[in-house]
Amino acid sequence: MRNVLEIDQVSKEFGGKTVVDKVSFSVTKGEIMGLVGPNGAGKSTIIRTILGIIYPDSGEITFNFNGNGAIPRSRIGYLPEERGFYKNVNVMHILLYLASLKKYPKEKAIPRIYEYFEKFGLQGKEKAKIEQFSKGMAQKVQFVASVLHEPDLLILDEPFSGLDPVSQDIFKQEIRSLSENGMSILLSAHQMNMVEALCDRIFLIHKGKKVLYGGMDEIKESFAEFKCVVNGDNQNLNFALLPMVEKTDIRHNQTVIYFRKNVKPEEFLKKLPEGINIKELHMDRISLHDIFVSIVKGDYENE
Amino acid sequence: MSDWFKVMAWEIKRNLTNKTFIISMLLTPVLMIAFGAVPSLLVRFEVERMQTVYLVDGIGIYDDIKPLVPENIILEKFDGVLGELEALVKDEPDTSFIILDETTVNSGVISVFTAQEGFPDISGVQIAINDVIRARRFDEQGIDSQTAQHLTSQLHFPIVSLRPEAEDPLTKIIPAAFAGMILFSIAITGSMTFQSAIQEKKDKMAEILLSSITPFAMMQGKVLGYFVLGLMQAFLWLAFAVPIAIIQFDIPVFEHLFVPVLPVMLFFTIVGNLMFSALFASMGATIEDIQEAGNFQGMLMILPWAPFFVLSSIIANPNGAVALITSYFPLTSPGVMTIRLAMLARIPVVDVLISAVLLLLTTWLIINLSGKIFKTGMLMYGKNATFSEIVKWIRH
Repeated sequence: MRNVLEIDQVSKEFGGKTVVDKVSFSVTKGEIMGLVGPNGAGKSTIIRTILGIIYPDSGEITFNFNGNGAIPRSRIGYLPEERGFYKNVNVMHILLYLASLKKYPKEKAIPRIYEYFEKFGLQGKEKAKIEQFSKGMAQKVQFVASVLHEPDLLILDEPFSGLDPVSQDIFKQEIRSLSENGMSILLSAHQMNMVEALCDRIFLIHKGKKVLYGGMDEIKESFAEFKCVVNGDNQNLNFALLPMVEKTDIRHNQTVIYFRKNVKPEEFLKKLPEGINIKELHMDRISLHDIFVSIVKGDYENE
Repeated sequence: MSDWFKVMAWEIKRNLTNKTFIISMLLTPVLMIAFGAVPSLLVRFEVERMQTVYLVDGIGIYDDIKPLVPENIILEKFDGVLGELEALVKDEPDTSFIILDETTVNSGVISVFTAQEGFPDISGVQIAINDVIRARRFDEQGIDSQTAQHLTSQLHFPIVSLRPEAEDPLTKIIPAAFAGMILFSIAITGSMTFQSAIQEKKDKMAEILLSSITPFAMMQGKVLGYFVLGLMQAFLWLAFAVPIAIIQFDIPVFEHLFVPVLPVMLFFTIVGNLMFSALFASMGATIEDIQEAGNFQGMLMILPWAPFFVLSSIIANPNGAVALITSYFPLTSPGVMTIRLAMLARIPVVDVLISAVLLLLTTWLIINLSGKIFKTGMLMYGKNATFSEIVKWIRH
């Protein structure tokens, strides 16, 4: 698949502190690429660098849209983390203004606005001002602003924050549908379940440096394979003594058992200790959330 | 269509569809006229209040004074007990009394006794007493009234200019008033770029816009948008002012407006405005909370009004050192040059050229520096920028 965006050895310093350190990754056509990391990891700096809002100190950013090297602003859509809109102007005017800045024709923009408003349950609100909208509704309008001009690359910075589960699902479906239609998406989010459900690949950054980069399955395979959650009073049992167990995490009547690499779940099931109290038992692959938390807590060293 | 043009069109459209802006644009000339007219109307009311002055006449001049007293003052002779008069004046509003006897007249100090607050206008009585006593003194000296008038007549010193160009002051005053009105109006809307940048930060629109256009195009569009709004406002004001000047005061405005000095004045007005607008837009970008804006930004905001602080020196001597220095100093030159061009029949071409070149260079420099400040400032959230931070952004 063709790379739409290539980031090569990009670094950025602020006041003598390196916030992005030799970061390299790419976004291919039609994929959803997750840019994840804890607060202050450097995600927003990378995004602002891609958008040309700030310049990198070193490294290169290449867009394979038109090949002339300039940032193709009109072909990039952006939903910033800092949400906002003009408060005293109706949303239709604002959306048309933003579309015009993206060089998108008005006659194409108007039907798309109506279409999106209907899809997001905002029909009839085109003439309303943003201050009359709830937070979730306003966020939907801002999302429309970022995709209205049919960008080739869509950058979403925390699109799910502050949304209720129903709205999160609407956004999730829309993001997936945009990607299926060939739009490349760079998604920065803290909701690991969303990232896991949506992204084809992820780039995990911590303290400005790359920690993980690759396909979702590939990453999950490279970490402890499975985990088992046992609900029941098992405080008298020490699962860590079992050879296939990497570590355990005991909280009240719940025990989470993380297995070593290449351990199959049935091996553990065969060796269940006597006297185990099982009210519920789940056997899952380790989640991205667990990997993220482990890395941020420093359980894994940077590559 | 260029990006700056789209931003400019947006700023114009956004303001022209904003009720607050429209009301303020329409109301400002009405308010200015009202502020000019109301005090004179109030003065009329003030004059219509009758003052009563009781005269304790110990030198027998009441009959001579009475016919000279204007209509808004009632002069009454009082022959009773002084204590009763004091009580009367204390009780009755708009009353006062004067005691005239040889001692007070010879001392040259005649007191006006009153219980009123402030200073009641009884100047008509004072002038009448003065005239009558002076006439008596001349009479005592055997000087007739004609000679007395001759002796006391004031000398006048009218300035007669030998410069033929200075014959009609309207030739300069009208273009200056025109340019001044544009400067004033544009300075007001120019400072709106400051508010607009703050508002855009507050609305968190900066990042969305800067992902679509360059910061320079954004600032350029904003500055030019408010410049056009300023021009619209100025022309609206002129639409009020010109008919009033022609019909009410019989001033041939158009005859004196389109003179060679007008384009020069407009040059200083327009370039100066662009310089201040760019500066204000960048200053707006450095502020998160206007309530906590530092002194530094506040000081810059009063810069366009700086020529007013030296106005009297420039009027007194339009070719003096103060006028010359402030003409060369680009932050004051737009206002000062407009005043000097209006006052001087001939201003050295070198003066105009030096001032114009310095203004152009400074405007270019400020627009570039403002672009740098604007770019970083617009993306900074959470606090106002300090002076040292702004310097750092410029040097970056």
